[in-house]
Amino acid sequence: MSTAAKFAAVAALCALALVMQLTVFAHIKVMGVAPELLLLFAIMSSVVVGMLRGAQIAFFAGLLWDVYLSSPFGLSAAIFALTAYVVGAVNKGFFRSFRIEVASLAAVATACAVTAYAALVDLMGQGDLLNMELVRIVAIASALNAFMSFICAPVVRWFLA
Amino acid sequence: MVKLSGNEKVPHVGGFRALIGLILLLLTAVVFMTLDFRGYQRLETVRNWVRDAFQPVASVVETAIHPGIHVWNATWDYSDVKRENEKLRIQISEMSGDAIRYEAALDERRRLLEATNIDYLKDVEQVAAAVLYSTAGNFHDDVIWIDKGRSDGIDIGMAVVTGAGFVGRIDSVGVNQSMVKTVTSPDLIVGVRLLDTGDVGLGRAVAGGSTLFVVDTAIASNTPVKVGSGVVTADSSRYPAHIPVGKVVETVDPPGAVEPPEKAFEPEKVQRVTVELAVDPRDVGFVTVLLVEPQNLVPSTFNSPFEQLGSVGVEQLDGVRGSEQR
Repeated sequence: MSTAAKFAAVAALCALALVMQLTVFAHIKVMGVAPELLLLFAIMSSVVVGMLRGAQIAFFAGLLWDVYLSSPFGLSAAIFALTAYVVGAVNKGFFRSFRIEVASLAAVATACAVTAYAALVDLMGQGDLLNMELVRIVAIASALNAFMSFICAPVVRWFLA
Repeated sequence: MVKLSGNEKVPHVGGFRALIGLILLLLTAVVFMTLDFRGYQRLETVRNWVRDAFQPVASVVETAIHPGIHVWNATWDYSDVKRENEKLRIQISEMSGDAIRYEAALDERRRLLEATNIDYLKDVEQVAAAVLYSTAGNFHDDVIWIDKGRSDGIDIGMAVVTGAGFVGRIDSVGVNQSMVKTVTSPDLIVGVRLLDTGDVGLGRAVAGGSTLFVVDTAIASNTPVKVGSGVVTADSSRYPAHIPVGKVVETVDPPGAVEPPEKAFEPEKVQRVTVELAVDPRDVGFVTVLLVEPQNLVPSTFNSPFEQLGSVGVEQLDGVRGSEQR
């Protein structure tokens, strides 16, 4: 696949994840929590294309998500990129990318990223997110992302591998 | 087992090069955050372009999935709906008595308005809007998105209300959608008037996503504020006056406030009035935007109660100015 085609594929997947997040998962939630689709896309990209390109794709996905959040613009992008980088590094060293491993990786990475987001928003004085509610959101979002990874991983691999 | 991607297929870049790449990405993110904190207007313009570009697609998908969403909600929320129905039935029976008292109050209010010649939002141009979503992520960030924007005459700073009362202010405007910072945001400072005493103060929501709103400036500790009395936007507020904000649920005197205060606005002798908001912005489906030119200046006339606030008030007013600059 040419570079332009890959760029188009990344843009299309990001747009798809964003639209799904803003429409379908604005309504369909489990105990008030939706999966973090753009974060999941970032994680899966890193699993498929490696840590540097994964981090670049994650950064782009995070910027797109930042457009809709009231937290500082660029915060999600930074967290997504860092998460994707770590996921890429971990995947390189320890995992062989079987489905169950990828799901576990998605769950742990989601938990770390969501907690980091809440902590940084709180630290910047932009909200009061470090509370018991965070534990619930992290637990459910991680479980949902792990589940969604079974659908997301083959799609991302098909487009980007 | 099905392999999703073998390690040999993943194009691993050298560790140092990848690390440099990550650092550059993080620095870029820091630059964006700095620009955002400094209120760089072009960044907001670009964000609005992206939102405007996605809005038609999101609308089409939203329309397409609507029946499915109903089925989902009906399946999973049935017990909640049943419980809510029961609660509403009890409320209706209680309200039949309140309705008569409400009629009397309305009549009294009408006569008062005639006498004082106040036009409560009578001639204010309005536009109704549907709420697209209350929050984009999993965290409540005290904003809602509505499906009307600049093309409908909406501008930053305009007040957003429902029939029940004040919802918030327009914080960002695209061509066909806008972001409303809701009254539940502790950043949104509102000038309010207590209906039973006529006192005016500044208030803001309690952090943590609750529907409690605290007025902790300018209400002297000896002011007899009744629990249950109404609170509306003040005449000197940035928003149109008399918009219902909520009802007083608690008043707390400052520690050691026994003697009546000599100066009404001494911060240590100001009581804290807690108000239950009239509207929970997370539950609204439709809102009305009041197309009134936003007042970007904090009142500074002699009669303005805000001018006499003292140090605490000045700090609060700086907060107001800060939010206006966004």
